[in-house]
Amino acid sequence: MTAVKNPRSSGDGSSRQDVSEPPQAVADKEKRHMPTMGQTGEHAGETAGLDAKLQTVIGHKLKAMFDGVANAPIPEKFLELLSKLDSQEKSK
Amino acid sequence: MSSDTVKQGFIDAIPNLRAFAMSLCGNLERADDLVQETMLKAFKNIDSFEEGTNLKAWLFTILRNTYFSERRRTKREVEDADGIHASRLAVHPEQHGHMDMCELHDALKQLKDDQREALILVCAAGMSYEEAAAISGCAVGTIKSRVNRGRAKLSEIMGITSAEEFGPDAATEAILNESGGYLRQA
Repeated sequence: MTAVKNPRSSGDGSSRQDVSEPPQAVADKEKRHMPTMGQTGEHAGETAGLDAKLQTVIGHKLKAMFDGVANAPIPEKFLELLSKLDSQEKSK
Repeated sequence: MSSDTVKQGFIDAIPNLRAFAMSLCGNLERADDLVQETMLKAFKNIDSFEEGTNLKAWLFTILRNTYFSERRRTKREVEDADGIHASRLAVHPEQHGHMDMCELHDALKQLKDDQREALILVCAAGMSYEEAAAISGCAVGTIKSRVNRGRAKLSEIMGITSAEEFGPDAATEAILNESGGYLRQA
């Protein structure tokens, strides 16, 4: 399989995506740039190999790791920063 | 544009942004710095945000772009022994062993950036492939590929070839005892 190189990405997986571009515009651009990939055909072989239960458990662990922080209360500093930025915005 | 709507949107997004940043950095202090930087940039560019579109995805995009451009600048390896402390946050020890979380963080750090990001967005943050693709700036098929490869690499790094090897804990037991189990299909 020849990987079609994303014209915007560099080797380390980063993207020169403009920070101000909303994701939908990016996705639309992506559709125009990229030829239609035979997704099931090209990638089918990559889903096989890892035990199904192992995949599930890994996913579960990743989610638990994420939720550990996502469920923690928001530190005050963020709310303070938000209020400050918000009032700056309002005073424009 | 209603500033209060946006402000509430930010508040709602912060916990997930912190979790995303933490998963990328492996260090909660750096993660929180990253989130604050993201908030500053978001407000600075707020006029480019289209109200009604996905604010969370927009913020995630700003965060990951900030993170990756920082990495390019400093060319620093994601290393952090203190990151282990972060993994103790709100993870129930009886459900997920502490050792598991440390191992998972360490293994994640060894993945390539794009695979780590894809795994976090899809498997950890529970985003759709489409949403993850938009945030990462790549095709949906690319995300699927990165998730599969990342997952395989992760188990290789941790030296685990079957679910049972993850060790005894309530959550894993529950999954192993399920006949089918939920599985995110690629």
